Order: sequence, then C-alpha cells, then structure tokens
Amino acid sequence: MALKNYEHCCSTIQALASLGKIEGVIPLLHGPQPCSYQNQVGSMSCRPSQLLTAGTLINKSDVIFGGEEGLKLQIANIYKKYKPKVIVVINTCVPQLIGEDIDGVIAELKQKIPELKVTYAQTGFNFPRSMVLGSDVSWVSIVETFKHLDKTPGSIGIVGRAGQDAGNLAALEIPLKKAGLNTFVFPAPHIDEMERIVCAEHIYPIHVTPYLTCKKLDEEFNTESRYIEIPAGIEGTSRFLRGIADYEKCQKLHDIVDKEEKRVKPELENIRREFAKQKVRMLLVSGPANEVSIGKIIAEFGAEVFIVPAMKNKFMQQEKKIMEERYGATFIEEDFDTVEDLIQQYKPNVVQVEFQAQVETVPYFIPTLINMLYLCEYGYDYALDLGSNFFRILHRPIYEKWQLLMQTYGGLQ
Amino acid sequence: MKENLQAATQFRMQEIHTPSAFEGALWAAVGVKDARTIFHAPPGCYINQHVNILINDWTTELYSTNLSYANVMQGAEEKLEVTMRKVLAKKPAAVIIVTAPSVEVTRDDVEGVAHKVGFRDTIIIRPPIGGTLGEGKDEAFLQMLSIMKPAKKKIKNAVNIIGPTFSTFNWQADVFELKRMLSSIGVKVNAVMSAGSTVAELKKAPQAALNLCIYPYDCGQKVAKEMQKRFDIPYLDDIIPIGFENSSAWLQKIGRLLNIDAAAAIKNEMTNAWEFVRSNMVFSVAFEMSAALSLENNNTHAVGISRFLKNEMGMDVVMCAVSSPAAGEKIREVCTPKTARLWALWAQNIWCRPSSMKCT
Repeated sequence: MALKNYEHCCSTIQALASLGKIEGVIPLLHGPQPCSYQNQVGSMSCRPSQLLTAGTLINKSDVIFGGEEGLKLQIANIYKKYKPKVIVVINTCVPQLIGEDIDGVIAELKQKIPELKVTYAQTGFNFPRSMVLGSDVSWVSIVETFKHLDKTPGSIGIVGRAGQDAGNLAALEIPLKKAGLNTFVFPAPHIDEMERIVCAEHIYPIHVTPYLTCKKLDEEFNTESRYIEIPAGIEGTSRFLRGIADYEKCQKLHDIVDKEEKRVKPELENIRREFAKQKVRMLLVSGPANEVSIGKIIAEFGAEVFIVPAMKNKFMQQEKKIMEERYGATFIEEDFDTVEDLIQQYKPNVVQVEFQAQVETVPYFIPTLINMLYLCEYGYDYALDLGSNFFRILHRPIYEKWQLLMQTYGGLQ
Repeated sequence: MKENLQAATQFRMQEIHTPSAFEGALWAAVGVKDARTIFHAPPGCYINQHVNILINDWTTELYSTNLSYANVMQGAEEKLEVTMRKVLAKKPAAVIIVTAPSVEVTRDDVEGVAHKVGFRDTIIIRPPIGGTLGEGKDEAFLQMLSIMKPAKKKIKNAVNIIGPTFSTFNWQADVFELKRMLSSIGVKVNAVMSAGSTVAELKKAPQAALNLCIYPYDCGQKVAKEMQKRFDIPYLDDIIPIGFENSSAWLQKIGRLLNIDAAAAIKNEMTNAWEFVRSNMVFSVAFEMSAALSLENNNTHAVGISRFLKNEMGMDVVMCAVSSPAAGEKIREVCTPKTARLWALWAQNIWCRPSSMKCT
C-alpha cells in the first residue's frame, strides 16, 4: 500500500465539487468540523462562490447518541431558508462508521414536508483509488430524485466526469447538435437541465467515471447506456463520434467528423513531429480520472505513457484495453510505496501528479504537471492546444535554471 | 496630412500621476529621523507633500515657510530665516531645507540665509524643476555629503546601503532583509541613505568599506560615484538582490569585494529557497500565471521582479510600465515577445504607443 494517498482528493470533496456546481442543489455535509472545513476549502477552486454548502458539524455527543436529530433539523432549516430543488446529504466517514439512519431521517422529514426533495450519497471511507467515485455516487443520489419524463425520440445523452464538465461540453455538444441529434447533457449548470437526461433514449458516457450513474439511469429510466471510449485526442474523439453516428445511423455526423479530421490533420502532424524529436516518457498518477484522458492524448502524439489509474470500474477496464492495444500504454495497477519509486523504475521525463506527489518529483528536476489543472479535456481542439503548447508548459528551462542554481549555490552535486 | 494623422495617433500625455524631483528630495530628507526638514514652499505645496508622506509611510514631521504670493515675488529669505530659527530651537541634529518649484523659479538665496543663521549641519536641497523622482533623490543624497568628512579609518566589513527613502515601495522590508542577509556573511550595515537613518549614522558613512546601491535603476549611483571620489569607497550597483539567483550573486560578490567566504551562508539560504520553490503554490501554479507590473516609480523593483518571475518562477511578464529607458531595455529581455507591451516614459516627453503584438 502506498505511503500516502496520491489521489486528487477524497470522494467526499469530489462529491461536493460535483454537486456544488449545480444551481438548485444544496449539498449538506454530514460530518464533523474538520471534515466540513477541509472539504469546503478543498473544493473552493472548483465551485462558484455564490453556491451554498451547509454542514451539520456533528460533535462527540452526536457520535455517541447519533446525529440524526441534528441532521433532521439542519435539512429543515435549509429548506425553510432557501427552498432548494434538491438537498443532497453527503454522508462522510464518521456518520457512516456509526451507521446513521439517513433513510429514516429522510422518511420522517418527508412526512412533515412532502414537497421536500432530499437524497443522500455515501462517500465516506471509500477505499484508496476511489476518489472519483464521489462524483458517481453523488450523481446517483441526484438521479434518484428525478421524475419520469417522456422520452424524446431519437435523442441521446452524454454523461461526463465531474462537476467541472457542467456547462463545458460544447466541444462535443456542437458536432452532435449540428448533426441534428437532440442531445441532453449531464452534468449541467442547473438541476432542471440535468433532469432532462431521462428523456434520452441512448446514453453515451464520455468518461470512465459515471458507471453507477449510467446503470441507475438504465435501470430506473429505461435509457440504454453504451460506453464507446473517452472522446479525448483526435482519434478518440473521432471514434467516439463515429460510434454514436453508427448507433444512431446518422451519416451527417460521419460527414462532420470527416471535415474535422481534415481540419486538424496538419497541426496533428506538426505535433507528432515535435514529439518524435523530443521523446516524451510520461508518468500520470491518480488524477480525478483525467490521468487516463490526458494520457490518451499524449500517447496519440507518440509519447510513451505510464498510467496509475484512479478507478477500477467496468468503463475503466474498457478504456484501458483500448489504450493498451492502440498506443501501447502501460497501466500500473500493482501496489507501490511512493511515486519516487515509480520514477526510479520507469524513468519518466515528464510527470503528471497531484500536489502531494510534486514534493517527490521536483527534487529530481522532472517537469511536473498538476492533474487538477487539466480538465474538460474533450474534443479535437483541446488536444491540439495541449499538444501545441506541451513543451512550453513543461517549463524545462526553469527546472534547468534551478538545477544550475542549486549546483552553483546550493551545494547540490 | 499624413504627418498630422500620424502625430494625432501618437498622442502625448502629460504624466500627472508621476512624482517629481521635489517629491524625491522630500522623501529622502524626511527619512532622516533626528533631522528636521523645512519645505521652503507655499502652503498648498507643503500640505499636499506632508499628507502624501503620512499616507504612504511612517509618521514624520515636516515644516514649511508657508510662503505667500508677496513672499515669493519680493523674496522669501526673511521668512526662511524666521522658520529656521524656530525649528532650530527644537534642537534637531540637522536641518534640511528643500526648495519648492516657485522658490526655484525666483532663485531665493537660501544658502545666504543658512550662512546667516550659522547652524553647521544645514543641508540645502534644490530639486531640479522638471526633474524626475530619481533625480530629486540623487540631489538630496549628494547634498547630504555636505555634513560628512573623510574618515581617518575604515570599519572592516561595514557597508552603506544607498537608495531607500520614505515612500519607496517596500523600503522597510528591503532594508530589514538586506541587513539580515549581510549579517549572515558577517557584514554590518554602517548607514542607510537615507530612510530610517540618523544624522550621526550619515556622518559616519565615509567609514564604510563598500557602498551598495540597491535601487540602481532609480537613484543612488551619482552619490556612490561621488563618495568613491571623495571618500575612496568602492560601490556595487550591477546586481539587484531580488530573486534567489541575484540575491546569491549579490552576496557572493560582496563577499569577494570584502574578502569574506560567503559560500556557507549562501548555501543555507538556497536550501530554504529550494524548499519554498518545491511547495504547491510555486512551480505548479506560478507556471499557469502571467504578470503585469506597474512600478513606474520603482524601476529597480520592476527590473528585479520581472526577471525573478520569468526566470525563476516560470511566469510570463506580459506588461511592465517603467519610467527609465535603461530599466525598459533590461525588462525587454524577459518580456514575452508575442504579447508584451512596453510603456517607456522619457522625462516630460511621454508617449504611449501600443505595440501590435511585439515589444516596442
């Protein structure tokens, strides 16, 4: 087992970051003070500041006697003050441990306030390599509050990775809508828009994360989910869109893809030439699942890619197979102690990790990218932009400068 | 017609928000703790200057001759003499007289009045009309030499810091940190010209082994050159100790000039620096940022900070406003070529020329 958790955050923060981006939803953190504080601070860079988060701040006596009363009171308070469309109780480690009866609380409240919509997500004590599960379980809890709506014939839905995707899926929405496909997106900036995913006949997840969400939609709302692949990189985006085109029998979408491939080909070739010159060996460790998508983009450009995946679900297994066969990517699933050990073993010249791993990578003067800064990585133009700017953003001269400084003044051998 | 159009598009703008030589002289003067400064000026000039200083820096007293129109037209020497005698009654360690623009126009015989009053430690500063902030400070520093005498003996490993004045950006932190750095290599600060110093410290400035001009793109070089001539004190003005690389180089050079081995102390500092740089907020976040700097009144900071941000923090400097062509040239080396605009202000001949995607 690793000496530290190298994931982006815990699944509670991920749930909060996902739910906290949706207008109409108020997340309620059911947990002790440090949990609430750290989760708020940890997710602040991911959430619009005007969206509210609440907490129950359970104390010692709540732990002994149960925090259900406090939870009931807080839900009622929130509803009275803000009248949100949905309240999602994020059940953190401590209440999960003591086995709080959240269902019971919700049932009691619904008797008193019938119009109240409240649901909950269990995110506490998720085992290592499950941070991204926070998005998935929180979305399942949201889906549980949706009502049945009429299907829109010939419509499709795309289901994203995490809260940041809300309002950021234009790279995929535009070609789909141009092709005349009625497209519903999930997540979306408002809960009303998100709810319309149930009108879709077919659902195409665009990342490895939402396995449980898609399963829930299929089971409860009679949608049909099909995982094609992550639409990241040129080939990945094309195959994703062509997969939809085949399933939906939409020749127009094929034509759009043909046009896009022609448009991006010259720049792709430039990027590949540069990567061939510079020989990139990139290690990507446990992002918020984007270690897979960014790894896919970089591998397409010709880099050798080594990935420590953040998830283990069925979608992840499918994506892994595609990347191994298509690009020769290496997935590191065996246990390791530190990222430093991985560096010594795989000898990357670029690393993409989270902050807590950067402490280990920078002393080696290896250019280090931070996972959480590379999101919404879908479509042709993101890949081209990343590829064209890749060597600039590595800031190799700065690492070289510091290596020289430390050798000149800092006593480094 | 074409020339008119070109002239119209390259508009000229009077810089009304840039401090002048008069501010420079006053800021240099009021920083001497136990001296008293008289601004030989009409009331309005005095009020603005004193309140401006109080807003920007520590409490300091500033006196004025409160000249009327009649005083200015008929000669203000009498008023100056009265004011001087009153101020001297408070027993200051020195009296510093700074003349205002209206007095400079009429060329009052300030020196004559000072001679008549007969107080030995009187410093007279006549800032040049139309002069820059730096020129005012330089004039003040040069006049402060009038109370100094050549030293019989130099103090080993003692340096003067030249440049900090009241209302200089960050001067207190700069002086504090530079003193700390110097003491880490066994160097003592003999005097600071001039913020926070005393008259006694200024008088012993000639005893230093080395002068350090810490704001060379703003002021200080003239007085350093003069002190080399008068008091045989060498000076260092070619390294700005901003950023880790230049701070190390600065200490190293001082060590070489004073025959001190600074390696161990510098290694210690760099170990701390490396720990800092490895933290979350530096490489990972700084690399995603760009910086726009507006430090027209502090050209040295602009040069030092822009180089530090670009070369050591990996940030793009996309704009930098300075008021010295020399500083502008230095900053040009680190500007991002595609997006940089450089606004260079030359004295009163000031013009703003937006560049179309390249440095100008």
